[in-house]
Amino acid sequence: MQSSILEDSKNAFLDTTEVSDYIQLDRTSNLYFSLKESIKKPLKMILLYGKPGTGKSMLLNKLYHDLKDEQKIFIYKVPILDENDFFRLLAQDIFNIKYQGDLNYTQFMKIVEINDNDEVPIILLDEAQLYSNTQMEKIRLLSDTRKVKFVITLHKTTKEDLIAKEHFQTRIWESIVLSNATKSELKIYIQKKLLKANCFDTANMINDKNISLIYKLTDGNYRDTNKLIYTIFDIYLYYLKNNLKTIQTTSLSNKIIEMSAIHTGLIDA
Amino acid sequence: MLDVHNLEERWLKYKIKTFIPYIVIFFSLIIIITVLFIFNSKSKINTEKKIVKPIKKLEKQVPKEKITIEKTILQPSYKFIENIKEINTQKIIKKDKQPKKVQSTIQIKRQNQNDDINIVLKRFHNNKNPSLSLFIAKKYYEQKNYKYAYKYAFITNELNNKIEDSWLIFIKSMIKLNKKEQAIKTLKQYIQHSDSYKAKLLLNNIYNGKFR
Repeated sequence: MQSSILEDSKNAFLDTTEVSDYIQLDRTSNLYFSLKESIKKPLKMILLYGKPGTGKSMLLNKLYHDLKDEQKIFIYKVPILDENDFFRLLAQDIFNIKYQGDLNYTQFMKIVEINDNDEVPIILLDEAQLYSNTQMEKIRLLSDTRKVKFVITLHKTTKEDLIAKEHFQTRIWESIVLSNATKSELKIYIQKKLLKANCFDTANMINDKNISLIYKLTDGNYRDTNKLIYTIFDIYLYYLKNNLKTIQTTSLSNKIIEMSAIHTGLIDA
Repeated sequence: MLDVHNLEERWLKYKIKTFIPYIVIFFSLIIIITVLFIFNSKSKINTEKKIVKPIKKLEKQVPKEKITIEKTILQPSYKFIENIKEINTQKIIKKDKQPKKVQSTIQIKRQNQNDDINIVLKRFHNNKNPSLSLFIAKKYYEQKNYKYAYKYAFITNELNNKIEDSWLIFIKSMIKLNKKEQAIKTLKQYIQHSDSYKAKLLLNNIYNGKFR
């Protein structure tokens, strides 16, 4: 097998949230469809939550990518922890107002009242669990004005705390839960990733036993799977380039899968 | 950057670590099985000792009686030996009178059995193995040659007095030789010290008249 094929296979599993890397699975397609439908509804806030590595950021990114030409939509992949910076950025993006100096919540609300848009802008906030409680509270109050619609992603653990808060429960919102892949979904995901990168030979290398082992190690988590398979092909490349061993490239070695799991920390050895 | 050599070493350690529980389970199973085996064999030895001890006690407690038994047993046995030839010839004469076909089959059977006994007798004289003498006693008993059955059961008892079958053949032969009282007395003593179920059954059968 040529090293270029292994290189391409490895790069196919780079952990990115690029829309081009999005793999369509039945369940994720349904979730994406329901997310799109929710945006059309007069909801103040939509909650997208699940464990890390279940594809929240990817789904948010895809939503932005698909809707950016149709409506006013903004994505904040990295949390803006400074309140002034956050509202300044919102004012700039939504109302095209470049504000000099500090811009607090009250000042921003005045801007919102003055600038009444026909179209409700959608703000996509990734990793919202990193925002402080007071900042989250202000985001909720802002969503109450119905002048801005928020779609936020949260880790499942922090979401439970947020729901517990009374003021949050009173808001009209919808939550979409993302979970890890099942074994069959994981198989499709891996195969589709490789086939998308035109790596047919490496796709044929992976058998059901390999999938079972990968699933056992990653529990169907997409991020862990990406990391694991990236390292697997990296190890194969190392052996191939250094001619250290006569490695079989007809099937994926469980030893190399386990070595990769040790390297990525999935196995504590 | 991947350090594959280090990864291989870590993988090997991990594999060994994952196999340790299986190895531990395997060896612990072996240990458990051997311990159970040893325990079982020891318990068997203990039960055998329990049976043997009373017999030894019997020998110590009633040495006089035993001597008298031995004396009474030995004396008639010599006479029986002298009479063996006569009895054998009588039997052959009787069988000569029978139809030819029946006679031939019986003769073949007897010859075979006698051959067996002769072979075992030779072996017994060479090594004095009580199991061989017991075999001879049983064969003679089957052939209704009670004098010889009695003799070889006695010899077996002399060599090893812990063999239950030799006691039973000895007692049964005594009864067949019309020494019922002596046989019952010996059997009772044997039951008292061995608590043998077979012996009790035999005693019961003697009293009931099922064994004559």
